[in-house]
Amino acid sequence: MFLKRDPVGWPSPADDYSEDFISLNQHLIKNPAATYLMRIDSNSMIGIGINIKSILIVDRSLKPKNNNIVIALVDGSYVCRQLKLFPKLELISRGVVNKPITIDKEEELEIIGVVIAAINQY
Amino acid sequence: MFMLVDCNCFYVSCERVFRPDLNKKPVVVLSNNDGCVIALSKEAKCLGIKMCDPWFKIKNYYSFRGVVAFSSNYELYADLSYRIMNILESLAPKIEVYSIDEAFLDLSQINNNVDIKKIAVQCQAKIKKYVGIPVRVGSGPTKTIAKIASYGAKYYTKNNILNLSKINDQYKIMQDIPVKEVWGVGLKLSNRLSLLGIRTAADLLRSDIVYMKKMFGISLVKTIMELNGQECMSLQSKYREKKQIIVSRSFSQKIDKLSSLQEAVSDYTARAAEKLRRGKQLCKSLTVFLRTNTFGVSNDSHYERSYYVPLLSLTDDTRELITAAKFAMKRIYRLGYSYNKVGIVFSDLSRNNNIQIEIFNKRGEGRAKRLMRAIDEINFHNKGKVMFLAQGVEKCWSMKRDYQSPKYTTSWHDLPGVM
Repeated sequence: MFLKRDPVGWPSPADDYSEDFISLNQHLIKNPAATYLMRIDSNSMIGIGINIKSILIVDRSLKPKNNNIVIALVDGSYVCRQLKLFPKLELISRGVVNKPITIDKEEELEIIGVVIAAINQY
Repeated sequence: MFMLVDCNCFYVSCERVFRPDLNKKPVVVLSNNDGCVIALSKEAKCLGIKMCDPWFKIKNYYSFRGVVAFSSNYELYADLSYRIMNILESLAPKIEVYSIDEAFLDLSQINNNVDIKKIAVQCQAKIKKYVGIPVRVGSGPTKTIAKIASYGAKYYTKNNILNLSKINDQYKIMQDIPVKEVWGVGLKLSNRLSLLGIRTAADLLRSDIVYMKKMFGISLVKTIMELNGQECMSLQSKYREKKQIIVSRSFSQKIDKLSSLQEAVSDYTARAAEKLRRGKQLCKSLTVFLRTNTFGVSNDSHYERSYYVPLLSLTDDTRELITAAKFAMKRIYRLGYSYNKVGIVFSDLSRNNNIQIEIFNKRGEGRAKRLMRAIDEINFHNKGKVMFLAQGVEKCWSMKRDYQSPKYTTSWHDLPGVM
């Protein structure tokens, strides 16, 4: 490409070694069809470093495990919480005040996806 | 075997992915300019709303009854559709994307009913979990029977999956399916068929092929053979190269000034040029068309023209294309009419990689390329950030989309919020 613009002169000795830019998408997103970006509008997870307005990368294809950060459907809206499978099924917030959401029946809990990364911008 | 995967009221389902509070509520999606209902949820149907109802007429009555309306958000629908097709490609050796919300899967290697059922369940579960969209799955020995199975899955099953590999099952369901629902028949033909006493798919299957061929031609015979389980239509390849690119829209209000029409056509040209470059194509000619409202007006106030412009050389440069489009618009514009739609068609497309060198090629080609690439890159992240002045600033003609939901998956400013 650069040679076309200026046919005179030596080709760069680095040409053979040039590769594409490293890509954040490639690094972070394993399943693009199932991955959504969301933005957190509260400080409920600030205790583990997810600041308010952080961008969450959510993979819907993963099976949620104990201690995963997840997006769950609670009372018709999406929330970001830490999932506890034992000793009892709970969604824990990691904000200034920790108020867990206890789930009585497993069927009542709908986990939408697992947060695989959060991007804080400063 | 063929399998048809079809999304249940796709546009409504897309809106609900990011608005879980709307599950089980009546929701409708409106056409361009918020004209009429083009998608509706089961709950909205139960309230008496029908496809194509004009929204302005029923708005007051139904808003009061809790119906939520959305302008069409094609950015969102296209993105979710793309995800669904990607998942299907991972599940079947060959697929045909038939429309934004339907795809055929070619399962010719698989003849075992257990495996077919497994794939159907997998399609449904994966798309629901990964993307959040409910789908129905119909399968059969031909595409036409797969279509019938999909229709049957909608009305006669609980889990929205129906396999019609057995002839008995096929025949039983065809007795209940009106002939106009058969793929390739449609309303007009079904009216003529009903005169012959053919009212259901089963009637059509039983009809006399020689007579039908004489009366209706070969395409209906193909349909009948497909209903009989003889494969006449194979899978179309997904990578059909575009032969032409069209961008046209109706205005939100009537336009009579040439300057506004030129703005509109320039705007559509810029959009079409973007598509052209994305497909790595160049075009050799373009056509501009404009027309007044065709509906309910006397003949003398109706006007419709188009104008074809051959271009000097193959190009994908927005500036050259806009100049040509504006020129064409000037040629067909007549004072004294109120226009309601303009559009642009790019034709004679060819791939960008093997271009003949034109004698009259201008110098500075490389700069134009770089300029276009820079514009595309900026606009990719922030739609409409960089534009040509010709596209207009106020855009008084632009589409009305009063109830549009955010572009949740395609704009940084519109990411869905969580608490």
